[in-house]
Amino acid sequence: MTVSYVARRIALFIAMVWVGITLVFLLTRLAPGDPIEAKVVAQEAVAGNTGGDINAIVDAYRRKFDLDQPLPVQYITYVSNILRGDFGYSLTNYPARVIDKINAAMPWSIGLIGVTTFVSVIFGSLVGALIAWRRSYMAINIFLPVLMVTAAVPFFLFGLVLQFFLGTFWQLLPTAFGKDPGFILGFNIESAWQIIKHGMLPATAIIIGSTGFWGLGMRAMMVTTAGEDFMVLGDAKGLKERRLFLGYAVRNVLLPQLTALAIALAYVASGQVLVEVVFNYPGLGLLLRNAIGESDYFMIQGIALTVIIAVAIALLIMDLIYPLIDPRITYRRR
Amino acid sequence: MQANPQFSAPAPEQVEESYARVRGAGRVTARVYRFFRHNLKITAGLTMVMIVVLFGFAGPLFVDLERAEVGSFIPPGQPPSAENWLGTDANGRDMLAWLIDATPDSLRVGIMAGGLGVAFGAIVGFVAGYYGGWIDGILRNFTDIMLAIPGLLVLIVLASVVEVFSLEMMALVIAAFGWMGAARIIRAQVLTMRERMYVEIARMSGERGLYIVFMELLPNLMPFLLAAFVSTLIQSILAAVGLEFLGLGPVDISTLGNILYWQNFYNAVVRGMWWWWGSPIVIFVILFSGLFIASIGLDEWANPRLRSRG
Repeated sequence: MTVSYVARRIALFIAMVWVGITLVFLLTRLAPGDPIEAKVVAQEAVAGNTGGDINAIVDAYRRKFDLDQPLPVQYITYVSNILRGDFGYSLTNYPARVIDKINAAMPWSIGLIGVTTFVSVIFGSLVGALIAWRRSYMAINIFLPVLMVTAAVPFFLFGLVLQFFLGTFWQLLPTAFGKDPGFILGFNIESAWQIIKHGMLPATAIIIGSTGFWGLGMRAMMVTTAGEDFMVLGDAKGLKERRLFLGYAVRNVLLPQLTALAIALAYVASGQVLVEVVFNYPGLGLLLRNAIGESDYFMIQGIALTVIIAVAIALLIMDLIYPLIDPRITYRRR
Repeated sequence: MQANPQFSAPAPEQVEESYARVRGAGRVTARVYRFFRHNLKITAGLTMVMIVVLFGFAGPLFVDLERAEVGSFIPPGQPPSAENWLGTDANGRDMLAWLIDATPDSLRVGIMAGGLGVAFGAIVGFVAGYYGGWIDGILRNFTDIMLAIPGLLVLIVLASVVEVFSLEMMALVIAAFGWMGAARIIRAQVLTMRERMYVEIARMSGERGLYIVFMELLPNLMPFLLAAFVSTLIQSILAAVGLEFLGLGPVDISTLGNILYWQNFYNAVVRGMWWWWGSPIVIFVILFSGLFIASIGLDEWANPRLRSRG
């Protein structure tokens, strides 16, 4: 049975990547407007026309990027290129390859999402569980409206507020970039301090935003768990409060909470991109912002595909780990 | 069906009471009042949303929107004053007038995309839940796959290629990535409802599938559809604001996300122009919190088991 479970998950993973790639392909090819032509016209407007034939340049570009082929042929080249990890060249920084730029930015984004998800899942789950727990101090209940607001408002708005107060107004933390300009990162304490200092504000913005999400999810599940028979039994047995809370209630809710992580990942990844834009953080967000500003279509597509594939891989890993940590999930199909 | 042996004719006073209840049902105001008193979250949430709606739609009666044009006030970039209650931006636009101009369009995108998204989702959910079998298998897996794809990034790719992006088109593409939540909710409900007795009876009396869906199932699903609409609305406004913030929305229309794009473009935060980014944030906090609280309230109303004690 294990084999069929794993096979099913892998099939789902492949389907996910395929749908994502195909959507990006279809939307960009079928959308009205010709980005190459627009790009060349824009460049000509900046440089001034020296009398050359603009159509020849556009055609040359099209041949270069295989855009003169029929759609099915384009699709096959496109998919096979992506599978080989080739997202093409950056349009604005021509000899630079999209994949190299993305590889340089990835560690920043992955580090940020890793730390923030870890902190906010733990912190949010704890606060949410305590709010739902009948016998907590009443004071904790004031966190409920706070969680509702933080869950509702997009991450990057917190980023703006933090940037102003902590960065501009009190000047405690740097407001932009991943390190001081001119600083060369290495394996030393100073580099670590640089990274932490600059990551502080974007990370806080994401943590504030996603803590509400986790807290409310945890609270909703705790409320239902509190009414279960085993909770009544535990209470009747006279178990210590602490044990009842951590060992009986939280333990049962924690794993569904991890399942929610799978659904939230796409949402958190999109939110993080915008936070990175606010802070000019050198991850995928800043890369994307610059690419949009320069109309670098291949770069934009490459970034979108990278995030889609990364989320799909993360989901696959989580799907394969669940049955190992949660005995209630069987490998069998329903 | 066997007759219930314990069934007997109701006592006259019971009959009288149920008639009284029916008559009372006609008094709409009393019912509406009772509804809002019993669903405080819906009331509080809707009140907050109404504040924003009134601000956007009644604002033009009090504030001249031409004050929002570039270069209306010199020198530009002034903090709030008696003349400009919310200050002016780096191009001399009055913030208050600009916000009033932008709010209705932001709401409009959300409502269009939310409505379309729920419509798509409801159709998918109905078909999957009602017909079941392999149709359900395909639709369910497709929903799960779409849910895992970061829609905002696909939207960014699309928006970067399209040259002229209208408000309606943006709503349509946002809806194309915002129907999955509604589809899941509706499918789950249809799955339980189609086994209920009244659907069985309708089926046995020879009604067609479509008739059953529209006449028997749809009315019972209204609370769920409403709850799904509000959460789709939130997602859609979020997506729209994200696109506009990146400078990918419609360029010729003022929206709240657009204001945030320009403040970012002119580095308002670092230049200390807090009124520029602060005032749209206040509107967003009221709007999103209101919608979110209302959606929790609607979820509880649709599914009372979610209601927590105390």
